[in-house]
Amino acid sequence: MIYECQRWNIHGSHYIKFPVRFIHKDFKIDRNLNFCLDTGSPFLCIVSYYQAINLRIRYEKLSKLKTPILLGGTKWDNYLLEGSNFIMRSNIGKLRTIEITPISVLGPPINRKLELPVPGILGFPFLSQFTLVVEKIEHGGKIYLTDDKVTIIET
Amino acid sequence: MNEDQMLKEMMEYQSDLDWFIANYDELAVRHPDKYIAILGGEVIENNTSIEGLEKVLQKKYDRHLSHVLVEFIYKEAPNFVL
Repeated sequence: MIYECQRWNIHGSHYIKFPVRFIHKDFKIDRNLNFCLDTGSPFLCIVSYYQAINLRIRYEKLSKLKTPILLGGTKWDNYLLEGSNFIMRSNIGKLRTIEITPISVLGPPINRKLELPVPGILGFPFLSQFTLVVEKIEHGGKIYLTDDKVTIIET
Repeated sequence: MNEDQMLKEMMEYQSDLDWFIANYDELAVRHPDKYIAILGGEVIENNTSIEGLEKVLQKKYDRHLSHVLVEFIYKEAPNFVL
């Protein structure tokens, strides 16, 4: 299946946003959410602090790791959320459910006033299940994730 | 929730995400350094704190919470580097 991403050009920097349906039964979460794709991130998925507040995640129910996450120049407490699922909508309206566990949930920033929030991130362990297809480099070209077999034809 | 309803909400959310990206420059002028909530191609709420925004959304938009798009508007280029 093919899943469409969105290019996000923000003050001259380019990011890729990907919308999913975030499901967590125990926490009664059933919300649409979007993440930035980061092939360099070793984390499966990072839910940002503002997303966690938006989702009403209860930190007291999560386990907190000793090592914080450094992201966007700020250190954040790293909490683990187990047992989440993403539902992805393909370009022809088919749904695919994929288990995403564990998710790193950022707590409040450590030793620092929150200056700029960071978005949620899907990292390499998530992206390695897919092929990223860039339709064309020019502005407006579509970007897709696909779990179909991709054949590269050299011309 | 049945699949048709979920699909509809996901498409609406994606449409709002498209709108957010297409209108980012204008949003950056109107709502710098604020969290905004978008529904149906318009900004329905804005707030300097995510906690404040969430309270208003829960109170006024409870039925639509699953597909309200919440984003932060960066006045300057952000740093998302790990």
